[in-house]
Amino acid sequence: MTARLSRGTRERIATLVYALVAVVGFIALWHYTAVHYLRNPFILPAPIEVWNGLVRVAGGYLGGTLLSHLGASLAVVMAGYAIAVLIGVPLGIAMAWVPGVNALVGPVLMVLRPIPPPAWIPLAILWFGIGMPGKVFVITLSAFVPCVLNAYLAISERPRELMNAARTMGASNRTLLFEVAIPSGLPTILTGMRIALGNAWATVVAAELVVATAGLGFLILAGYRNFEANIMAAGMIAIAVVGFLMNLAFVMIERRIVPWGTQHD
Amino acid sequence: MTDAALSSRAPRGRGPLHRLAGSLRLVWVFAIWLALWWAVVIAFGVSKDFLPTPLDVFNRLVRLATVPIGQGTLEVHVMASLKRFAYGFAMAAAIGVPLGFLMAYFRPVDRLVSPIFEALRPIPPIAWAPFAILWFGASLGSQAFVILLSALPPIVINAYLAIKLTDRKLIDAARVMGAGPVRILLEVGLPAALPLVFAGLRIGLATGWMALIAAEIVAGDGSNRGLGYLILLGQRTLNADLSIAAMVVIGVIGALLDVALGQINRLLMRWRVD
Repeated sequence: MTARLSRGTRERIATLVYALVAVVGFIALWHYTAVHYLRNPFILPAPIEVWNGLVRVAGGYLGGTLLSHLGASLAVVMAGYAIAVLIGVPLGIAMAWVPGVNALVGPVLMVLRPIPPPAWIPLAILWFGIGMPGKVFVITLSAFVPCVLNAYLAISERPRELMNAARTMGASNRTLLFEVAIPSGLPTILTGMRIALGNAWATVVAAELVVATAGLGFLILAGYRNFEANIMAAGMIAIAVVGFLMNLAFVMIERRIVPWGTQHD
Repeated sequence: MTDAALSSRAPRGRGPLHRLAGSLRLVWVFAIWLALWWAVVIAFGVSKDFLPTPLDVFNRLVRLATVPIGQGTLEVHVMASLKRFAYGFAMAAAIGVPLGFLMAYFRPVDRLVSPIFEALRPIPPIAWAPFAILWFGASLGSQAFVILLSALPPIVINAYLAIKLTDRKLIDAARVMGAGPVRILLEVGLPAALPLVFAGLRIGLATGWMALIAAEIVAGDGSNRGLGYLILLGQRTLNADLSIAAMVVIGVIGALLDVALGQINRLLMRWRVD
């Protein structure tokens, strides 16, 4: 008899086994469909071909290795994201702290919010050309709204009892904002920044699918144009892995900064 | 939640006079921003192709509604977009809600589907567009597919949570009073789950609408209709006013869809007190 396992451990093992079965089954089904049923690598490349595609792209494809395409996408995302955070978070805080700012900026945000970020791509091309500035503009817009909204939400829902307690103890307006309202709202602000990062990453793919000469979205489009579906799938996998890792890294940073209250989805 | 956040400062439910003052203020603020936009165009002598004035955009909207462009007037393009959206969203709802329920009710389903779901989720829906074109052609099918993919996750997740978070006490109470499993599901489980399911549909509606425009811009080359096509056409023919007019329409429809679903939600959930 083996040692008796606790209920939690058994559950975890079961989940792991099921996950393994699901993933292996999925890849097997994919392989079978591609190799024995469709038999058209342009419609559905087999898993092994996608792997070969990844290896090929890693070594260099259309003037750039996988890393250089990744670098191109990341540079655009980071530039647009940084601008969005630097403007959006202070703006959201100001909107919640100063009623006049909200009255003035709130309606504009209401109008801009329902417009999908990719809808700006053509205008961005018109205004900034097909280079990097246009993409940065679109990325900024896509990351801007969650930054503003969550910062606004965080500060306008500051806990009254903390505010009153601090005020009773003679805290100045400045102290109230920087030492009570912002720290207590930090988890919500960080969540907004995480959503914004996800938006930015999804939007750069859309932008690069429309117009680009490098980047992971461009890689997908290049594969499409060259009738190499395995390159397309390789690009998608690279995008997924990077997006996943970025989110994971952000969650870990969040836990470090605000161990007391991190929201998860 | 975020809607409430934006409007929470506006006077609400405090009598018609307050509400009137609130909307008057809104009109003023919009007037200020429009004037600013106009002033920028005139002060810097910006070309109309580059940044049109608000009046240009308004004129373009009127012209769009009456004079055909591409395959028809504005109505044709709006209907084309709405049709694609309706197909994708209806599929997402028809697949997503039952899938979420199944995953919540049956552990093995959850354990088998979740890993695949989580593995595919980091791929932005629009990245599927090229494959969607290969599979369904650059038309209705591929765009509906992209919308389906983007609306699906929030719908599945909320349907799943709706069942998982059902108050055990309600179910126990019904059982004590002699209700069978089917009756419990239909009269206790589903009504209790409805608000969360609806919240998921609402998020799915918003993400689906965003994906539609992206899909029309990326994968719209096959057809000469749709709001995304109008935006793209504006860029290609150097008519910024056309692009902006189409974006205004997209924003308005997106907002209207959200309001409509909110109203249905309120109607269905009249019995709820919270």
